[in-house]
Amino acid sequence: MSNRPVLCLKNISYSYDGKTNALEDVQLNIYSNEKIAILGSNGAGKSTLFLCMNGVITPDKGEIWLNDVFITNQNKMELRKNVGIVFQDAESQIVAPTVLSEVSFGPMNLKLPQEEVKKRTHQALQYMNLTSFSHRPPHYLSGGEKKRVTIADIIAMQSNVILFDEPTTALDPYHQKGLEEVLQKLSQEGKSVIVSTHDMDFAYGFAERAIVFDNGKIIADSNIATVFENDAVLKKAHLRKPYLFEITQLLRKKGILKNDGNQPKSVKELEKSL
Amino acid sequence: MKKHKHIYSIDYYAYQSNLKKYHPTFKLLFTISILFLCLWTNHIATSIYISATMMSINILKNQVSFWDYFQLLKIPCLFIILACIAIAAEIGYDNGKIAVSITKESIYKSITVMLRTFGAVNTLYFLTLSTPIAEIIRVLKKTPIPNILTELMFMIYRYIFILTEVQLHFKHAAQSRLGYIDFKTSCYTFGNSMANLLIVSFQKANKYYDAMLSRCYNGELLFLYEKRIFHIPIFIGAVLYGISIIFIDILCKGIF
Repeated sequence: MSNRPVLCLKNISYSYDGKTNALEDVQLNIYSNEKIAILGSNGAGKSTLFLCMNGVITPDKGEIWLNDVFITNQNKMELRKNVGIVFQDAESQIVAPTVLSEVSFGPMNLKLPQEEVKKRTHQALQYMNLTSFSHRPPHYLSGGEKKRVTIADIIAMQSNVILFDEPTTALDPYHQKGLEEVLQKLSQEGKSVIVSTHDMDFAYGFAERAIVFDNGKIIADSNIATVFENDAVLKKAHLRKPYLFEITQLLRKKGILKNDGNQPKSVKELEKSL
Repeated sequence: MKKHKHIYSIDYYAYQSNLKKYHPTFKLLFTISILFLCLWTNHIATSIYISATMMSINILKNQVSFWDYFQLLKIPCLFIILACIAIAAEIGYDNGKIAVSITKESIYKSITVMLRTFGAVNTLYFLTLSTPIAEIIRVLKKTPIPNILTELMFMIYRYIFILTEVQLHFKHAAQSRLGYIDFKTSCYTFGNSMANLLIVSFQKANKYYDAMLSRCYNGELLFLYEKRIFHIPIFIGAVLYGISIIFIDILCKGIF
């Protein structure tokens, strides 16, 4: 992880109706290769934050910096190019009549040469195991397949920061597992992966850093284990501890597990620690 | 019609058609030419020939089962028959009274119109069952039609499926709570679900636009398309088919 943030949000505030702040004074630095979970209850401001980070909505107050460049209306496209969003509702993200056209939509908008668009599109399809679906219309795909298409959309854009808005919603355990693997793979490739989720177990298993939102404000931003140890924060944001985290805490309390400072992130890791 | 009922069925067949791989411009031009021939030639035998060949292509090459194809023809055929009855029955005045008369000529005329229209319907089904709507719009994009219209067509096409699904969910939710138990309740439920559908369509449109913006949309829908082939033997076959229609028409006019 480098010292300079890839994306920097300074005192961002945004209101939809001019009265209530959906985001209030948000201060956030995103570094390369980070795995972040954005946590918070419904209406806490997670999705609004994502739209701000991608430049779809312009904050009422504050500044956005991308690789030390101040983002204005003139260079907003740079932000959209470098920060990709995978939306919660896959159906609303899919624009094109076939999977191939859909995945090519982003690269085509970047005005890349046709050959480069083809290369990126086919790579993204291959990455998400969608090559055999490339000629199919999206409306005949299942929910899990549609989700894979929306991820391929962003992979084809080759964004450095990828935002996933509630990615596990409506996914069965099989597709959820597949999604986790993709997120890990993207992270290993040096991308900053940020997920907004209500699934505490998924967040704990994947992320290293957690940012907790409540009423548009950041109320905690640190290592994910530290956040889950903070009962006051969890209570305020109406969150719960992940089951694995709770079991680990219980085993330590009972003296069954050594308190070596390591936090097992999976059942396998817990088994090894025992 | 399998699991894809109503509007889904034609689109579904178009995507699984054996003729999908051929260039949409070629298929569109072929359809227009055959339609023109169908209207230009006016012998019953020619119309039967066009209808029979187009039906065969639709069933064998576009892989539509006979029964499904019959279902597709039901509504157009109903309109054709009603129109032909109106043509066959000549209405006039006889001694101040309205008189309906059917003559040999009017019957022949109505049968000719009926078969010609039937041929045209089968020809149009050839295009819609072999070419997904998105590809037809893609061809239209290359014509002088304003871009905004073709892009609207794309979005409407996409939205038909999104909103049909939402409407289906509304319907199931209402049915599960006896929302369609009698006529009065059904009308009330349907009205409410349509109002909700309008609101949902606005919400979905906003989300859709945000998603497009997030991927650098700049006012023009740009996609990469599948490569479609232009087969010379198929082109020759199409030309020969056109010639055969003209030949049959001339031959039949000479004989009968």
